Amino acid sequence: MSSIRFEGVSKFYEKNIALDGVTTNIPNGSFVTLVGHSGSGKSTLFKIILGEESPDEGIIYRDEKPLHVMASEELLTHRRRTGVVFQDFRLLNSKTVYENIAFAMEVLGFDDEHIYSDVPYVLGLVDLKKKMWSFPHQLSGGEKQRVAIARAIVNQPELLLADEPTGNLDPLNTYEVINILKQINKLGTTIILATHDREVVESIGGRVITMNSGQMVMDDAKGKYIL
Amino acid sequence: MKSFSLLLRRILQTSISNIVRAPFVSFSVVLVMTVTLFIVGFSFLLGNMAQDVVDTLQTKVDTTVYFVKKTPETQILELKKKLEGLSVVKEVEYISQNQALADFQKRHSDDLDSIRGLEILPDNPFSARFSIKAKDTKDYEEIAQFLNNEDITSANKTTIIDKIDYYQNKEVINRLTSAISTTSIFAKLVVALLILISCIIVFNIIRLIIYLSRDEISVMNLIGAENFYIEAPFVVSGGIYGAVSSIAALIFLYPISVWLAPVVGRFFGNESFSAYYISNFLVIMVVLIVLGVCIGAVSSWASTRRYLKS
Repeated sequence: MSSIRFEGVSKFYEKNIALDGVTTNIPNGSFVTLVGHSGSGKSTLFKIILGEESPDEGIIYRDEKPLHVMASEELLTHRRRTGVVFQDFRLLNSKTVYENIAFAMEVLGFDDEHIYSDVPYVLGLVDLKKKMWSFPHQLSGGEKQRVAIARAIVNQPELLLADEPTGNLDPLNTYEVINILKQINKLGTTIILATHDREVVESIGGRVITMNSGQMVMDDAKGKYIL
Repeated sequence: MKSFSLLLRRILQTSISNIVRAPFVSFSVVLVMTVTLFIVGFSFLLGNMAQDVVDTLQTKVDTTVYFVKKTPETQILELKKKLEGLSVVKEVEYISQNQALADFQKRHSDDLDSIRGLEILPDNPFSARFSIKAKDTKDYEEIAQFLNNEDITSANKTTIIDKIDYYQNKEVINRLTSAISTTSIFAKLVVALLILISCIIVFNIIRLIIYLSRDEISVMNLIGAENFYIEAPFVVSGGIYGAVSSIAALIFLYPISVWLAPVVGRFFGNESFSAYYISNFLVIMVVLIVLGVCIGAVSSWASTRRYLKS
């Protein structure tokens, strides 16, 4: 279980404001949807959560520990406890589906026995067991996204960040991906999903945060949003 | 928990699969590295051969000191001892009057006129002499100056040295010294330059390969892989490329050395290029493999680090 808290977080790229004083709390086990158009700050928020970027102002806490005071080893641990799914999948193209998922486990130091048993299991969850030895370029967009989800959940992360995970998918694949994410959330994983797709927002329901020009313009527990 | 052997095995497996799964890229890298390492090996071989010829030439240069006849041998041997004490002297050979005569007779044993001519003379016409070899050709001047020092060479105010042939050969020795020094510096510079150019070429080709993997490196970073775990397979792959290329370069060097033997022989006397390659194979092999592995590994390490986030 994992919580994330933002306190007046701002980020500037030269004169452009990517995030403007974002303050919010995402408790353990919640499923939060971030809604906003391109450039509204959703991806920047994810980069800051992952420690890819540092905020120019404000503090972000992971389980009440400020990210900016974390040593590089702690930051690695933070990333390992966080699963990430990107719109462009970001798979390792030189590795097979099996190896892509195994790599995430190897990073955590799992031995071969665990990897042999867990990778097929998690591929079964996303219905990709048959494609275990395929390379990413041999998969469709929906399959690639399911591999990315399998890789993100194989280590049972406490937090899962999904940045436009259905952006490149057709309606059927979108529905499948959303269902998988809901199931993962039911198992206790905190999920933050960024999207600008109304159908996706409505199919998830629950808490929605609306972002515009780097600001949080609405935070509604019942799923209201402005788009 | 991850044991060291497990980590090592995974790194090695990843390195090998990186090479095997991109056969065209791997072939290109090995090809470029083979050509550059071949050039390094070839110039190293030629440079060493030139240096050997220069060294041999240096050993053939000496200066001879002729003594006044009837100089007591004790005085000559005392001077020999003093000369051997000089840091610039490599070797002093003493040839007595009798030895000089015996040498002449032996050398002209077929020349009856010369032998009969010697018999007519009342006494031994040859002088005792030193054949002095300096450690470096430029040191003969210092040795000659030492011998000209009256305090050292005179006994009872009589000069015991009749002639030092350094002064007759001074011009030749100086020109030879200058030629040796220039050749040596030039050969080293050419070899160093070629090695530098090769390193730059190899570094850039490996940098290009790593550049193609930059997205994968950033994804590995985001997943939480340690920098070491990301860069180690690239470093090992680079080392393997270097080792394979060195072996290929060593293999190609042999037929080329046989083919070029007549041309190289014209420059370096009778020394056979291919025979020289075989007799120095171990040294060249070690140099090329160490160089290949180091360039491959270091280039990969430096290139990977560019894309790693701290």
